[in-house]
Amino acid sequence: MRRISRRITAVVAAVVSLALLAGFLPVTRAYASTAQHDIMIGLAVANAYVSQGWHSPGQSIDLQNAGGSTAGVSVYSQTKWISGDAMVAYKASYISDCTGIKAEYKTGGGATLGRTAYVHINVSGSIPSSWNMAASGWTVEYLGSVINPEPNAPGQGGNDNCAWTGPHEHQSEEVATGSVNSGLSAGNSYATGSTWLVHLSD
Amino acid sequence: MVPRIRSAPAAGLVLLLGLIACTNNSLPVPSGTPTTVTATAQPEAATGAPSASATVTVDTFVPYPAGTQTGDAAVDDVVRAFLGRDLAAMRSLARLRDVPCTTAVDSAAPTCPTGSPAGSTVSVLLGQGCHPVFWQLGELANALPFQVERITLLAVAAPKDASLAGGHFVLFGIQSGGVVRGWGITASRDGFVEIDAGCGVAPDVLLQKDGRAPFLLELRRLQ
Repeated sequence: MRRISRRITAVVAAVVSLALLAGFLPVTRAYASTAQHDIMIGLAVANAYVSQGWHSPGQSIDLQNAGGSTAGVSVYSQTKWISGDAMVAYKASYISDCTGIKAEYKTGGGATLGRTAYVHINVSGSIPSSWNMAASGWTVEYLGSVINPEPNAPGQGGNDNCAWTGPHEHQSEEVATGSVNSGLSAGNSYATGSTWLVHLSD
Repeated sequence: MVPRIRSAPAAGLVLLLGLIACTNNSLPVPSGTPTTVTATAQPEAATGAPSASATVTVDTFVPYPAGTQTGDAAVDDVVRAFLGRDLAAMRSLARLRDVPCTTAVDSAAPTCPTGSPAGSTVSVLLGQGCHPVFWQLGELANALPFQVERITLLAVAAPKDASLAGGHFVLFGIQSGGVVRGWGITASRDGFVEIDAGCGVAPDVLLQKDGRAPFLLELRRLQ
């Protein structure tokens, strides 16, 4: 009786092992995954010119089209997966003083890793409330286009809190967990395909 | 670190979908059309029409040789420090002004240092560009274009801003990627009080914005 029981147990174990190997049975396993995504330059050009390096308020950088006119150039939330899980981007808020939009980046568990303000852009009315930052390749979400002139600038009848003298994309970064690319220098141009602004990591 | 629960079949399915995705090399093309897409490579760049007045090639203006004397010792000090990409010298020549700071986000006023209340005074160097920037002394490395391919002296004029009377507007050409853009410094009697990154414009455009006659050194175009 005991021998039969052992045989049954062995057979069941073998079947279960095969099923597991074949992927037919769900095997739940918990593991900690470090999600890493890069926030890239939002300007949809091949090379972006840094007209002013990292400056306040917050950690901001002014970007222009290195190869031509900046006015009207499309601006995207452009993020690049590095490793680990997907993240989620949220349409966070509109910029109050100037024309722009803020995106917030969270882990799947809801922890906020950072925010980006895309300023001086003609904000699209069709930005979804959230979008998945895929765990592969690039994720791009259209936000609008570089505005010219900025209607909220003082010279355009706007307010003193929206300083603007020429078309550019002002990209302002808040980083809860991660780092800002301090290697970017004013007066230089950078390939948008390989130049990250912020490295988000949970 | 975010714990995740996953199943082997789900992982297999993700792997399968990933393999399928990898075989699709078509890239999203930013066209201004609202869309959400996931790309396997960078989205194709938009093709903006070149702006004739935005930038100039390296041969458009004739730079003054290094060591050129302007006749004003204070200007010469600034020019020497800037052309020499001497950050320490630039720091010692920067003349800051005290202005009230703000704790508001995205304000045009300088941001208060951590822990300082709104309205407290901060010492900053005024920077122009695509918008005013208030540079603290420790941030000067971010403000100055010292990693560009080439910096040249192009002109020295009187400042257009009447509040800067007595100083000089010094126009430089900064070359990056084979393109020369204007970069300006307003020199005072013992240093400099303002920088203008130019918002990517050509040197002559920046000179027109910030400088006026009389000139210590005139902008020279290649004949």
